[in-house]
Amino acid sequence: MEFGSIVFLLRFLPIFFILYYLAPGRTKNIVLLLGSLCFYAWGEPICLIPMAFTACSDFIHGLLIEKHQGKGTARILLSSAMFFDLSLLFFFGYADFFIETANIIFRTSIEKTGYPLPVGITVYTLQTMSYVIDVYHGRQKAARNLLEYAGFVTMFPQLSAGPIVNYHDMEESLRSRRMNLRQISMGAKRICVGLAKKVLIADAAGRLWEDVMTRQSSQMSVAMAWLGIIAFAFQIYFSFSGYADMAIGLGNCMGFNLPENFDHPYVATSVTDFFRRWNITLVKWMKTYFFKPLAGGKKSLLLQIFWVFASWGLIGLWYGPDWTFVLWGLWLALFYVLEKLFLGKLLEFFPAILRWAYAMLVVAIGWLFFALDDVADAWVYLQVAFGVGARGLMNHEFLFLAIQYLPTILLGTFFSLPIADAAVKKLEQGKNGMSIALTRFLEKVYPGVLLLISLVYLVGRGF
Amino acid sequence: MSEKQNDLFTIGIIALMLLAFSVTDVLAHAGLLHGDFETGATAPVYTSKSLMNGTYFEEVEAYVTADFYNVTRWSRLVQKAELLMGKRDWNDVLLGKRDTFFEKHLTREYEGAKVQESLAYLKNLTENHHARVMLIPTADEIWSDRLPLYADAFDQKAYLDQVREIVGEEHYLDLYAVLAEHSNEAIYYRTDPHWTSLAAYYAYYAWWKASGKLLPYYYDMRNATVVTESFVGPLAKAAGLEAKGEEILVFEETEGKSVSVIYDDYYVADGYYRPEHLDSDNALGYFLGERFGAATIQTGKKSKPELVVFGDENSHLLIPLLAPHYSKIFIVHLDQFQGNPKALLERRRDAEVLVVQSVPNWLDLFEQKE
Repeated sequence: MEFGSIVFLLRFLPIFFILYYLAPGRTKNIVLLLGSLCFYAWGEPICLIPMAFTACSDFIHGLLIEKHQGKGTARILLSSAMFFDLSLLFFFGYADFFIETANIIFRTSIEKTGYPLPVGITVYTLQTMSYVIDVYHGRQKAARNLLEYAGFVTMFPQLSAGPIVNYHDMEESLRSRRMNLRQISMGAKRICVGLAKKVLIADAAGRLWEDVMTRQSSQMSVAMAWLGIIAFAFQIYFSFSGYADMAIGLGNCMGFNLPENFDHPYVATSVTDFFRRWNITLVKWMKTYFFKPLAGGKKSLLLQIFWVFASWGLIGLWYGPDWTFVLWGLWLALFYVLEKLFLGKLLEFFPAILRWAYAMLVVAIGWLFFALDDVADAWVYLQVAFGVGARGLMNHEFLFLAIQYLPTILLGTFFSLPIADAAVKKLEQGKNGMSIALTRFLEKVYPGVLLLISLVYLVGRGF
Repeated sequence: MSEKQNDLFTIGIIALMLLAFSVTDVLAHAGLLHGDFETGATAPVYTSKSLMNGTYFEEVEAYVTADFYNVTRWSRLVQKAELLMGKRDWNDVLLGKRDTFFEKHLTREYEGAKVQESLAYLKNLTENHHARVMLIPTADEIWSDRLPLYADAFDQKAYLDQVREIVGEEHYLDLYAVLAEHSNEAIYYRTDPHWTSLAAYYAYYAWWKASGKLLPYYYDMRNATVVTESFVGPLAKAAGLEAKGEEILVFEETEGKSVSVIYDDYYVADGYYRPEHLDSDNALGYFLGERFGAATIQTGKKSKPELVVFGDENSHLLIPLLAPHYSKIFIVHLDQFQGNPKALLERRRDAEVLVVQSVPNWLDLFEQKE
């Protein structure tokens, strides 16, 4: 079930929240668990199996690890938990990807399993793994209430695309949470903003990207190729950040505080900066639970570089079982490493606008690997974007398409930059009566307007 | 308003909006509210297999989305908003000025080997079978001033100039000039990619002048019969936009003629017109019916010559006007014709040959090769 679907917004959500708010005290966790299971089972009920198995396995492993804390048995139990988690992730999520790769390399013909990547498996697996690791290191007490723990694993708001949360950040709220009007109202607003990002910008940008891709690369002008890249950049950013906003908003409405996951990544002035702004919780997870244990301390430079690439290759793989995603991660890692070695210092001599242009160029090229099915296609597209084999610099086809999608491009640009936030802040800080009145008016009106437009688009576009 | 009231207001508005949308849809589906459900979607039925593999849920989502309460109205509202924001392209249909819908004919789709092959084919037809070429430029060429800003449309005039050069003046009939001269008249439907009876009428007189035939037949446009005033063509339907109905006209002089049409060698019908199509999605099927591979029209004028037409639906509007000059007309749609056109022409060596198609339809017969 997608957040941006009619079934979710106009069927699931009203029923869920009515039951959730009617449920007294801790029974809310039961409603949350059942609601999450329904949400998750909606796509393919069979996908509940790995989820249930992961939740139970890590719950039991957590208890056992805590019991044997400081002993060798705890290490074995940690390995066992990791083995179960990764095996399930591998089998349900990535088996076909590796089989396909093996078939190509070894010219074998091993049959694929045919299992689709279960929704959320990459999110909850990382969450449960971090929980067990934290218990092992004594940073986290083992959960003793399976219902609360299952609620944490299955919690539907962040299941689709994050943010990835740690158990210790949620534990308190899972046990007892006090909801107040402020938090619910903030959450409701955030849901409207996220939905608008997804429906009004990401989906429209997606249509523009599809429109550009109806022609072969060799039939594009340079401007058309860049229009396509910009469209994809908007589509992916506003999809992920829209979902993250909705997740945070839904969490607020249920009494949880989920962490921020995006911070205007398209204003980054270096790849390092981009990493601080893009899918923040995933990058943080990879740093804490993968990179630091393996590359931290006094490891050699070469080894550290290797683990940076490995981390980013895995981050790429997190987005989907395809080598192009891995390549996207490695591409960004390359510039991250170069910046750490010398490029970062060099960039400081340049004005911010040039640093921004450099970062966006690297990111944009990276999106090509992400967007296209194979590297050869990405290479041809890239050549066209730089004028090799292109149909001129600009033509009527480009101008026509640009006009058709002008509102999307303008909205995407506007909301990629922190202009809107800055304007709101300025209004809020304003002391004159006009500014205060305007802030109050906008504050009241904008969520409803965004929701109404998004719903009308959602229903009208579905036809 | 206090902060608390503000928060309550926000929550209330959002909750009400979600509930209003969802409750009205549920009530309408339960038959308690009247609304339009024009999509004709049917509720999916679950089986244990479809439940387990998830296809049932996919079908439910598709059904709920497609059959939402007053979905067409919401859809129109979205389109109106998009129209206001400058959008002019829906499902590969362009909405131009004066409520004219255009089929997209992109430059890149009509170039290279496709053009060369089509020219070679025409050269062969004219050299070996003395064919006359009447290729029809479409609305996006003649009414290019109505196209949306920067809309790409391939240069049909340039292609027709190449055709003229390849086949020679004696085999070429310049319909571009004929239609351009009447470009301020209703020579194309606004909601359909074909020309109108009026355009066919102008083409007929141009053909007669070039044919060397003694006298033209008299067709009076002022007395043309209006067979419908509410024709909305497939372009408007594909775009999903509302459009005003148009008239379909036929010449009174062509009605009630005792001609028989034999379709694909087995189905026989009387006359040129098929009224049963007027209420269908293919209202222009009124002219000679549905698409076919080949048809033979027998006019009963045995002393007259025979004619072979390599045509498309546009030719169906012209053929009733040409018919009195011929004893038999063989209409061939090359894209659906099962036989061998060369063999057909060999069998009909004495027949006159006409190519009457729109330029894009003609070029589409030749596969695009990179």
